[in-house]
Amino acid sequence: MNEFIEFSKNQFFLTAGFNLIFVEFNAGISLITAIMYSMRKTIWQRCAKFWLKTILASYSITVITTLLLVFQLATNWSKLGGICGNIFGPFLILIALIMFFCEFLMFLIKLRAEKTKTLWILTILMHLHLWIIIAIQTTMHQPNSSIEFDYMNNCAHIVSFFDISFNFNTAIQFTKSLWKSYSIASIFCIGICARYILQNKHIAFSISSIKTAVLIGGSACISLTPLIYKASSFQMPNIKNIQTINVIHIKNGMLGLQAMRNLKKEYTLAEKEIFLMHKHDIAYANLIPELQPTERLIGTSFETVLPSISEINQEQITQIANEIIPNFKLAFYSNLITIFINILLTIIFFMFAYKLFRKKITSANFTLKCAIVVMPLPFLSAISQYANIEATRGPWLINNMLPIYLAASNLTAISAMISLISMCIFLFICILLFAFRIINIAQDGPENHPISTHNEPKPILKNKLSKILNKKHLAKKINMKSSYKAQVPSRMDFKKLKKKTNKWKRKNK
Amino acid sequence: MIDIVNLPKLWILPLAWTWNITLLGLTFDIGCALIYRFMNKNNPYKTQIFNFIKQIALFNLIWLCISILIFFTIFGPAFSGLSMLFSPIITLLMFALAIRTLAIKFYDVHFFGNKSNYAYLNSSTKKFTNWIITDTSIVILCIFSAIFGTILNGIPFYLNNSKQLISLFRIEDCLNPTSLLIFLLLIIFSITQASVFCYIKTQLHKMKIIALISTILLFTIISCSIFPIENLIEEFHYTYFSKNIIRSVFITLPISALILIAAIINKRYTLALITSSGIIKIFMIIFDLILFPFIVPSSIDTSQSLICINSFSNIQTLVVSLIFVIPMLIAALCTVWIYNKLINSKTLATSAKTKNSVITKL
Repeated sequence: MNEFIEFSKNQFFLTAGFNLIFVEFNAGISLITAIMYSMRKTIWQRCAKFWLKTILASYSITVITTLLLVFQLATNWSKLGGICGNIFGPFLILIALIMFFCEFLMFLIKLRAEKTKTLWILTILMHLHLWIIIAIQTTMHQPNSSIEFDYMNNCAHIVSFFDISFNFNTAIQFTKSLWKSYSIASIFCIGICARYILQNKHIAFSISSIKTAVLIGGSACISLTPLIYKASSFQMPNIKNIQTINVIHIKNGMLGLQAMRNLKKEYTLAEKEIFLMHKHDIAYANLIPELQPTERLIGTSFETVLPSISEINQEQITQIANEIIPNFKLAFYSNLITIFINILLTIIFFMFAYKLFRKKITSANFTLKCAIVVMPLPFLSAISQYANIEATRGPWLINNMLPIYLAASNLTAISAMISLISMCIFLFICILLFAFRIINIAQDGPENHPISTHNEPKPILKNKLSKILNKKHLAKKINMKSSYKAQVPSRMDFKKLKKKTNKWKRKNK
Repeated sequence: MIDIVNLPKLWILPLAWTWNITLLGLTFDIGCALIYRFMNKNNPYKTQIFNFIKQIALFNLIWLCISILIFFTIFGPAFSGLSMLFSPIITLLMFALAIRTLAIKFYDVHFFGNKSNYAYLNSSTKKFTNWIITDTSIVILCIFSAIFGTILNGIPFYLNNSKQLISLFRIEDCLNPTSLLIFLLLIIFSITQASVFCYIKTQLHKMKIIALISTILLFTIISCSIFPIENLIEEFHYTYFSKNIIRSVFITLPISALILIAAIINKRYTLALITSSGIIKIFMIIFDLILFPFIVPSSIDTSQSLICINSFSNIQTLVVSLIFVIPMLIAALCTVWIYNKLINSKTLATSAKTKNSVITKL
């Protein structure tokens, strides 16, 4: 059972982390694109159209990973629906609806010429998506008073939807993620543009993109500094103290659990008082798997057997108290990585800002090469931040309320292991495909991309015709009948056109 | 005013409705993925049809997410029980859906080398991708029919004193005649719908023949399946709707199949498309009618089944989640608009003549 939970936990955190990175990337890149598109000059709009293609590519991955997460609720965490489906469900539905409308807006962007408003709405929706994910994550980590657990019926209830969505912790985490998303997107933009400049291609486009990216990314990195300063003051807590507190919690929880069982049999005021006193510690008693009810075949039918609380000895309690101490070392090192990467990125943004100010960006080979090298670092920073959150989670799904193992399915460890390996392979393929798609987009360059041709259709046939015949309305007529197959005009087409123009000339005469 | 006691029963409607939209979209999508393989390599319409699948694939996936999440939120205990029973095949479904969508969305990614070197539909990578798309499509249909068939048949489980689900279900039980019948129907539904669409788009004679054959097959299977469906209706003693209502809805299926045949022969394109989608819709309505108010029926003891009244999350969530009905309605309207944009009547009428369509534009 323990192995199954470990595999399932890793699988879920892998997929969720992967999903979060892409959601952050989408939020950042969509803001950059929207700002660029809002500028009136054509060069900015050309930049925006180019970056829009990367949003289309990354959003497909976001949807696929969200599907994987949703399905995992059914496969590895099947008990979660019964226990706290009513808490996280509405937020997850909201995420799915936001995804639908984002996809719909992208469809509209492909279809219509007017994009500025649509792009801003898309940006807002993507930020909202990020907010909800962070709100769920923070609630699981620090539920405070927004959730109440009904130990009698083994299910959680929401006290206030507002408290879950808008609270101080969520706001801080969201700000962190937002700045991180801006730095990811900015470094991505700068990296691709740096490559163009080094190849001496699309210089005007690259400088315009770098300007916006440095402005957004630089300000994001500087804003992160106070938060990072706070994080750097992180000290390793005294583990012995935590262990002692855990032992007290578990013992109190066992008293509460016993009182709850007695209350189910017979209602007495004394038992009720004990239950109310130790109600919040019952979750700690639930951490002991040996105390969970089991099904045994008695005669011809299954019956529920409640293990006796007195059977649990001091050794077992100490062992559980040790096991539930969060991985502070991992949290510390992941914090360190985040701080280091952020300082590095700030330096790079400053270097770019300086070179842009001195108008020497095209000759700054070292800075440009640095930008290409550090491209994967913001992604690593996002992963380490996520690892930090997961490391401090400990054995809890909802902190101090619901242990992880109570929400897991009753499957074998082998099936979870196979599923985890398949997931790793699948996500690796996802990264590969995304990388190749980005390489393709970069190779295509800002010109000749399909979005511009959709909105301003200029088939070769029409241009050549208008040159040859200089008759606009006839060119329009022919363009109406042109298929994509006929975009490259053949000799036969020109013969037909000549015949038609002759006819038209005769009619006019 | 909404009666709070009847709220769980009312929530069955949006749940059934979202699942219907999902399955309608998925069968269309899957049908097109199966049918476009029959087209000639050099046929320019092949790319058009593929672009159509590419456009709708993500929307279908998102609708599937919405319907699963509504089930998860509103009927949490039932979701928990059902997913516990079908865990292994749901994992398979998850990977099949994800791989298929990835293959569709990243179909035109060219790996190493110059863009000019890559042949669009002929390289071995593309063949492999085509093979993945077709195979995963069939796997998805198989899994859906196995789940639906098993639910219709009833699952051997009971609830203990602490309302925990004790199951005697084995995964081999998914292979039952009802699942097989549903699989046959689903595959023919999707092929019929897609072939009608492809015929309208391409005006290929081959597509017309496929559409006609599949519709005739559909008519035959529906006519033969009257008796098994009758048996199923008889088995569900607690069905909310009277059996005559279900029977009368079922009779519309062969009639619609006949109308579809007539529409294809007489070149009534719009009617053909509406009827082909309508048949699937009617089939799903029959499924909903037979099952209501059951969510997971027990074959051991029907009174132990998970019904919408005894397996909803809590009233507060049910009331709060009503907010989502309006955006869901808007989303459904948007979906209709997207489909209309991709296959509007103008495009249908002119596609054969001008060989130009909105899909090419996209």
